[in-house]
Amino acid sequence: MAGSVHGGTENTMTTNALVQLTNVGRTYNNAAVAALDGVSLTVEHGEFTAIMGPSGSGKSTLLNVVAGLDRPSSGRVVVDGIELTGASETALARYRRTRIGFVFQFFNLLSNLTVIENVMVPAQLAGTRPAAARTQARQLLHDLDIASVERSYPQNLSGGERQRVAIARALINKPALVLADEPTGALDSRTGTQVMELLDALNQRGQTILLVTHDVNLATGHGRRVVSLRDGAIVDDARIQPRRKAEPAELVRLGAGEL
Amino acid sequence: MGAILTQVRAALLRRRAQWTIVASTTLLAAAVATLSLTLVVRDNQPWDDAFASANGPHLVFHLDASRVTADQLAATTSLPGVTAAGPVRPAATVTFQKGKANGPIQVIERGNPGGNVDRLALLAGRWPQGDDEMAVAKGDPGLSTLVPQLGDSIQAVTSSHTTTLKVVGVVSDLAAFNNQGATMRAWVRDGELAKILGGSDIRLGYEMPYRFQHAATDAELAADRRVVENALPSGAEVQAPTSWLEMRAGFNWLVTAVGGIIFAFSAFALIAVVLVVASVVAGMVIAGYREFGIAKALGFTPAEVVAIVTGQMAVPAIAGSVVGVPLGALASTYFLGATSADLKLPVPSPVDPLIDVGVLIGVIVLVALAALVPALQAARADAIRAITLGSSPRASRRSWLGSFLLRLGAAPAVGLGAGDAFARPIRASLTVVALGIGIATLTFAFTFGPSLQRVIDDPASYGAAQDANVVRYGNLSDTEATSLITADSGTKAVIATRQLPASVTGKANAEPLTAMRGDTAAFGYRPASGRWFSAPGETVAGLLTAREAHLRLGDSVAVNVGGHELRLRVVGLMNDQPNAGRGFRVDWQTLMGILPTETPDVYLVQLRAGTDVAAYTARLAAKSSQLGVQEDINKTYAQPFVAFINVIIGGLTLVLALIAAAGVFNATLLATRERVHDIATLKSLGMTPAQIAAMAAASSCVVAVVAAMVGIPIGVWLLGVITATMGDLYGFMFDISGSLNPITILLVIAGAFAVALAGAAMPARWAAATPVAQVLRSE
Repeated sequence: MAGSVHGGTENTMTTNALVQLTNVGRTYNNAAVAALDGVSLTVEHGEFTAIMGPSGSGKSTLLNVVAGLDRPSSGRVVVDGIELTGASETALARYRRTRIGFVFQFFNLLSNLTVIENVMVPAQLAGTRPAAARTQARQLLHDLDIASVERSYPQNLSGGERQRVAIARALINKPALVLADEPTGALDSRTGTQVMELLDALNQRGQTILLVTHDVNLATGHGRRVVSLRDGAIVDDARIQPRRKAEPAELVRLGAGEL
Repeated sequence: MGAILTQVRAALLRRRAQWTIVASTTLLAAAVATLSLTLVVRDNQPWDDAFASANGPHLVFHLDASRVTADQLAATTSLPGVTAAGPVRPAATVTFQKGKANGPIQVIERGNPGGNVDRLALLAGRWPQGDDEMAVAKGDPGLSTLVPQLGDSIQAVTSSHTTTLKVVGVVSDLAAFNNQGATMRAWVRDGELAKILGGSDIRLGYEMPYRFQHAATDAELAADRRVVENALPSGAEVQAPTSWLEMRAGFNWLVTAVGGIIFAFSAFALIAVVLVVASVVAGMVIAGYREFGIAKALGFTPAEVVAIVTGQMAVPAIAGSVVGVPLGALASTYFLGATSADLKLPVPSPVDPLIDVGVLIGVIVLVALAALVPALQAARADAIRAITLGSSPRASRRSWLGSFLLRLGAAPAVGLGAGDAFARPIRASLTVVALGIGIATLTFAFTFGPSLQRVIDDPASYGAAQDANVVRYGNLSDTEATSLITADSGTKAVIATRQLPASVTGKANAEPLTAMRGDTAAFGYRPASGRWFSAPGETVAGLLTAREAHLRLGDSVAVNVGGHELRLRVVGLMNDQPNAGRGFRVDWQTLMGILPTETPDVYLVQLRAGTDVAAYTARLAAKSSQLGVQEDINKTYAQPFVAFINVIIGGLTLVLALIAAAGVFNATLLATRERVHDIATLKSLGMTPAQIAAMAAASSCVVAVVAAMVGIPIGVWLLGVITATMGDLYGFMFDISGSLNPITILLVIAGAFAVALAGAAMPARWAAATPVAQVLRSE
């Protein structure tokens, strides 16, 4: 069993679990608005899980709770053995820098840093020496076939290149979990597909990925498991066969020029 | 108009931080500007009021009664140009004792405090009417060791007898601090002086006050003086006449000195405020780019957009100035009130409509001008771009410094923060200059005090190496006086002096020529530049005299002393504090060459280590009634003034530091708001709140370092200007060469960091608390 979801009523602990949400609720405006309502979810190592739902369903809130960017109003969140509920801001920051990589819809690259410097930031935050961080970043840029733009600034890159840089940045600390929040939302469809194939390829190499999207085709086309949210609650959880598998070789085959 | 006001009001309600910055900085600048202008314009007012009320004398002549008669003097009242004079008043300098303390007092016969010229104001008690009564000038304990109080009984000691006089009145004396040495003055009724002097051989003199038709300047006073001197027998004057300008300068020197410093600081404060406001408005225009675009799309003209922007600044500027101007005026009463109290005048009203309204309008206009350039930028906002993009073009400059630091292995927070420091170069430059001004004043504060203290701590460098002064009176000979002094076990060394007026070609007033007998160099005297005299014909000149007579080291100068020409070669220049920066100091043999019968009358004594000065002066005074002995006060009298000036400078520096901190606060606030997405991204990547705060702080520290590079040289320049100005005023030469030592630089840089971090602290905390999910969601 790759993962268990029981509609927020039951939580099955497994030894291979990477993410465990137990009866998680998140309310705003003095509980007037419930973004998450008793969500229980377990994601195991190596899964590619897509969280899907319409706007306002709570999918981004769920992602933020897993990322330690938002705190649940109730329930318990454990990721990679780390209890996030009640953790200090500093502890959450350390958790983010070592255990997760974040890929955003709008890339969120630092405009005053070069590509390689952007990729190096999380490594340096984690205490990696500059030379070692540079070597790792360079390797990732090479693997993602954007080595040629390492000295460029984000604003001089195409959307696809920017998202590759963001992916490289997310991977540099070898995170246990990559969180991708609408990673294709700011890209044209062709480039978006290529980015998703890249995520597929990463997953093929064992990287656990939690993807948030409102796009059904994207969720079903790439996720091995699709969790549907509505009004803050899980309404469906299905494991599916992907329509297409990216070979590891595609990591380098998807050149920057194609994006 | 209504629409503009609505926009202004809405913006003010929304941008409270900027509102506070502009209001608080304009408050501080308006207060300092009002204070400085009030002091500059009105520092002489209390004294001038008292002078007018007293119909004060433009010149007071000091004459030898053995060389000029009262009738001859009375005849001078009708000289051309003399508008009022006299009456002739007998006067003599007598040694008084009060307990252990003793010292010379100039006693003047005067029937009443009124009269046509030089009316005196009684501060306490009454005018002496009976035998053995006297009124004394209100003394300054800092300027004399003998300060009689109302009700005291003190002894006038002469060679023939001792007279006990009771102090029945205290008088405000316009000449109490004149540049002629400020011997304390006292008044007795007519006929009393003869009784005090009795059969002693104390030289009787006359004091004669004059008012002239034209006496506004030194040149006019010199011409007036010549008119009177030409009507007097040769050698009738015992010393140069006291001019009203000297009296006034002596009374107000501290306020004048402090006023100059405050004026310089207020100019700096205004510049800093202009820079801070410009930075605030520039930031506001960037943040409100979309709003300005929408406003233009809705039909606001560019001029109306400018009005909206400047209006937003004018309101807090008016609020700050309305509070600041009265505060500054109120502060000025502290300075003006001190002078008024000495002159028994009511404290002048702190309100000067011209100054207050002028500062109010001036500050508001400055703020409006500072807002104008960025306001014009807002007026040029591209409506389409503003609406579609929602923000102004973002700064995305390469951060060479950040990259360099990160490459070196600096903590990411430090590297990224430092790299952000100049992301907005214009704003950063404005902040650098505003902070630089704060650092300049900090540099000045750290260097001026020690420079002044160095002069004070080394009395020999300003002509006061002695511990005690002894004045010889009556028929006690020089030989006898010297024997009495040297016989005391406490005496280590003695320098005997005689001071005579010396006329210098081209100078209106005579300069004091001090002939010194003894080993002056061994005594400890040192010039500020050049060397001490070592041969007849050589002189060490006072800095003011040298400056006014255009004398430099190596120059020769001809002076006329007692009708004899004396040619002197300037070998040294000194801060001659006892002579107010004036005159010539020469070897005894130099004087003997032209006036061989002169003898010393003042003895400067250096005491052996461990000798109690008070006990020494009492012991020596007891040996002869014809010796006036007092502890030298040159070493101590300046300390309260130095402390006062240091407090003033400290206060002003704090004001400038606050303005600078407000500038940094604004810059950091704008930077963190503009970079809120980057900050949220960094937090999402694992940067802790402490690291985010450190990043903002690092940015302000880079600004502080650059500001220190700008501010320290400006501070040193300011030190040079102010010390030179004070030198011109008071004849001091400040040695500022060692002021900026490594420790001072470190202190200033530490201060710069403190100001920058204080300014950045709050925005840094706000940045650290950035709600990541919210910010990234609103992208």
